[in-house]
Amino acid sequence: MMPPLYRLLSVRYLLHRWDRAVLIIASIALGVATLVSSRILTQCIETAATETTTPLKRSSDLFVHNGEVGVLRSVVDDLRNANVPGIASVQPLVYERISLPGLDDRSAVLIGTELSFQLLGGENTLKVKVEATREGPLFQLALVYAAVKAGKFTEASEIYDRIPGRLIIVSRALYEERKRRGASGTPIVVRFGSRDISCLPIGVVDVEDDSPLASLGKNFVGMEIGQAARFVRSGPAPASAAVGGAMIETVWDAAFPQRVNRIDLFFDPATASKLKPDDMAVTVQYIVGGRGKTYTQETQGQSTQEIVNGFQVGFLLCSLGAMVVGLFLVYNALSVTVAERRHDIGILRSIGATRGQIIRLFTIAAVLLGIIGAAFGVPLGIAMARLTLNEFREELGSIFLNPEVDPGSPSLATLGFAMLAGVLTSLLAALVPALQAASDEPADAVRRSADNVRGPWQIAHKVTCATLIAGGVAMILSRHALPHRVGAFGGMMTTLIGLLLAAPIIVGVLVRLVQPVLRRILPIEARLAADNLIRSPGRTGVVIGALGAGVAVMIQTAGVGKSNEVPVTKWLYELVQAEHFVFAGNLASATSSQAPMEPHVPLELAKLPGVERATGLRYVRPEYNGTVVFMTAVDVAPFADATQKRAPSGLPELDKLRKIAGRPEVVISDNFTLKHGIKPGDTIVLPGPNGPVNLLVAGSMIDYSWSRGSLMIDRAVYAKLFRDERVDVAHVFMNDPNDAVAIDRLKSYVADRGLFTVNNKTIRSFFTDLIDRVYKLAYLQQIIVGIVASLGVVTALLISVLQRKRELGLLLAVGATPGQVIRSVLAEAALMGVFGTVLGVLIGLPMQWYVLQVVMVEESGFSFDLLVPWRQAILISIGAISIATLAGLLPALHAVRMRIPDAIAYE
Amino acid sequence: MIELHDATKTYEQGRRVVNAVRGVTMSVTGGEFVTIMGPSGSGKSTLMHLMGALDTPSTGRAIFQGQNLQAMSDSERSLLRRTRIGFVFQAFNLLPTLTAAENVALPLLLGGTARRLAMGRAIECLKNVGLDERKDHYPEELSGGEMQRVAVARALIADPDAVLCDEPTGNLDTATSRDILELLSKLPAPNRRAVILVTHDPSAAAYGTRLVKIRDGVIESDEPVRR
Repeated sequence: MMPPLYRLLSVRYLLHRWDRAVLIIASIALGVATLVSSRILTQCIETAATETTTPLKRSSDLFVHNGEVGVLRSVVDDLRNANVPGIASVQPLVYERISLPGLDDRSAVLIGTELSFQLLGGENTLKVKVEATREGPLFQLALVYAAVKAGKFTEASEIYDRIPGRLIIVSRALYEERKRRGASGTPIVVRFGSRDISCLPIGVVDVEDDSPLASLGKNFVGMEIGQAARFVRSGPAPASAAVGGAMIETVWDAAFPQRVNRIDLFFDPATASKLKPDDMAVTVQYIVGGRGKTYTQETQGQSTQEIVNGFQVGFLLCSLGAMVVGLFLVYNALSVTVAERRHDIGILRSIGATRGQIIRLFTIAAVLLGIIGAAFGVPLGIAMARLTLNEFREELGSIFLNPEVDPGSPSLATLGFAMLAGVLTSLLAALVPALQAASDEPADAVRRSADNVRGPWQIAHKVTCATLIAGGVAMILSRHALPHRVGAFGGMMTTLIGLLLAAPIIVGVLVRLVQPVLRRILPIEARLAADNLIRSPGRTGVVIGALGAGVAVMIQTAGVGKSNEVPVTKWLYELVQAEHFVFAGNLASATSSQAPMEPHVPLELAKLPGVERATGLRYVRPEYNGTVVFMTAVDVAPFADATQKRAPSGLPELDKLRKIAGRPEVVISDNFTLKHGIKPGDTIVLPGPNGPVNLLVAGSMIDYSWSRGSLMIDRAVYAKLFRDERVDVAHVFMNDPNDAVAIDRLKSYVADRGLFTVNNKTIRSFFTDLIDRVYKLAYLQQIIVGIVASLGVVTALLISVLQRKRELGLLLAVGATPGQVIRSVLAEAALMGVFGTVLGVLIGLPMQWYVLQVVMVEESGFSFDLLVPWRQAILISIGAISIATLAGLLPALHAVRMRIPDAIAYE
Repeated sequence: MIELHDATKTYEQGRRVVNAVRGVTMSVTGGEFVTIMGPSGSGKSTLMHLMGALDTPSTGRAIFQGQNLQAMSDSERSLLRRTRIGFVFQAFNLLPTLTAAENVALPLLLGGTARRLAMGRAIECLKNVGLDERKDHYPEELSGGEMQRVAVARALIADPDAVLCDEPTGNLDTATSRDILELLSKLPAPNRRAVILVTHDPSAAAYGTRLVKIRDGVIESDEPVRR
């Protein structure tokens, strides 16, 4: 509880000056909102990524996997036969995204596991309850038997025909939805890529809250491991399957051995405490050999963390930026409050208030404002997170296994963190003003003399700025010796904070430089405004700095965006030359390997009349050098031929692709070379289904597909080495792009097989939209920074009016019109906008260079030339100056409402 | 009770150094009503600040009831002001966000007295200055004279040994000024309480028992008031 004295003094003052309190609360709320939304998004993505890399993260002690290639199911038998002491159980697992055509193509997760162990074993590690559906085959067989017994042979045959080959269990939500549609008793069609199978649900699953299945969402399908492994691998062509029947599966097993996504190993509970996971992993790895890699819980977590790190750093930087700007504005507002209450402080000191009581007076008010600001910021942050997720729902859904990427409710930790951040920001911002207030001698304060920032404070301010800027630069320069990202990002943030803090000094210098010119060209109102800027750089400087920070990050983002977008779009447009594209699922999942098509699809497409050629592309993400890289398997020669035919002047490097046709070689991206230190002539080793695969690097080329490096391989070679013939997308090159009959034929082929097609224009706009949306997200956060800065301008000008009360009163007294006074205040606002913008441009462009040439090169290996975003810079500048000028309107109106005698009497 | 020994006060005003008080020696005893007079800028307010522990001399000594003010910590001086000294200012110096009673109770609240007790005492003090009916009014709802009475009540709530008034009638009309000065003239008590009044109004000086004239930071004359 707040002591009555402070309640009386602080709360009463805040209620009295509610407008000031609202501005401070809004600044804190927006900062907290950005922080909360970033944290929710990061957590959400982290959870989704963990579920994608390690779904059903049970109590297993070790994991064996082999990237997207999968682990041979025979490894399970080897591990079991090895009888490793201390390992009680070895469990294979298959997981893939599927769709259900019978239920509006809804996405679901397929889990293939040894159901008998998972569900009927004593452990029930999945923590689920399975209820028989009474539509299982036994039940159906009973009906067949009853029909036969009644002599209804036709009916018996029809019932028998409905018993499909695969038995599944389904989640309660799917079961109920199916029942609602009256489809009970009929098979469920499950689609993986372009492959459909009929399944009959024999059980419905109720998931406990702490079940590993719970995080996979409402829609999932469980299948016995063998059936699942067969289903998700490349299958025989429909014609072969029709001729070969069940036999073909056996033949296929020999040609394409079953693979699982992961093998879980459980320690024997009796001896688990004595086992060292790292040592056990070494033993297991010895058995697994080159067919996969063994991870402990800890190393698996690190592997996931590697994937989400990029997201985390991006979100963290944005939210920190908003908080820092918020902090300076709260500092400014509280400094103003101190200035305004200086006389009150004098009264309190003269009647016996101690310095400690004055400090507590301001810090308690700050804490109170921090709590209220954070309370508003949390729901706002949740709304922002939801908005962002909605914007990118399709893309995120296609990246992660569970398509329902849901922010859920923020955890208690997030709420606590948000409250703490709000309060700490406010407290930190209040500290200097509170100390300054307490340092006033009561006689000075009560004398109502002008507030002069004294020497020690000025020196402390300069020393702090210099230390921060020098420290930040030193961190950047020594970034290679510091922990990863600490130097590059921490140094940049520290320098920025130092520059922001130094804004009063910088602004003072800038204004002094231009003042002689301003004095000559500006009318009297604007001259007075410029003089006022010089007179109180401490007040205006912080706000100009905050405005400058907002402009700087916006210009930096726009510049980085332009510098990326122009070359990436050019590369993409040159590379994507086919007239039509065929895929399963949707455009987002086509590049995420979530919905592969059977290998016969591009072959059949190529045979369609009017089609010049069709090349299949398969995307995989193998692990390399401790990270995930992006490999594209493409029919290199036809792809290069068809592409260059359509764009003869573009991508001369495609010639390098032709040279790797039929060879175990790859062409790597330029950023792969930089990131991994690999050059043409080197050999790289990727995990293959039967052990490591060695690939010679034949050359390098521009490829912006993946920030951790990408490589291209001939698809025929890939299929042979990695035992994977499927394709994710087929590029269809037409003889005549305008041949309507051929296009209709293509569309009809695609529709008959449940596939989709888009034309070149659509796919290009899809990628352009995607890039735009990524930058829209970045702009959204910066707009918030801009709003916070604008609030600061309002606060600063309100104070300015307070400080200029006598001057403005005098102007009115000697005959200035209210219009002239309004113009004078607005001129000060506009000048703050101009100086903030100039400062922002001066900081923003070097920041852009730093992000492009240092951060991006080190993070992704991509090196882009610096393109100045002229158009955006002009728009941002106009916006910043307009907003700053508009922010001056309220204080300007406040100024003309003053009583002249009061204003003149004011000291 | 209050002594100044060769006290000086120098402060900076922009680039200018102001010698507000130059080597003043004087003392005030309980029961005295000392009036300090002088033209604007003569250093009379600064002198009062030195005597009231609002400020400390640049050189020389300031002593309150035998305690050297310079030797005291800031907190000790705060405690002294809160319990032993009352101030009345020209501009009333009431907090606009507090009611009359709350303004009066403020020194006690700062000292940690329970709100109920402090408010009860504040209402008593307001009654003594004839303003108990205005206890719930905010400063902006009071007249100048009423505000100054509230300030006097606040100065008296801790039953101080010295009441220091800095031009308390400067913002008041003649009739109200007379009321306030009469109120102040009743405050001195022999060996108990002294009142120091800073003014440039000769008629106000007539209420005191001793008149100190100051010019350019130096005492020009110091003599009893003849009635």
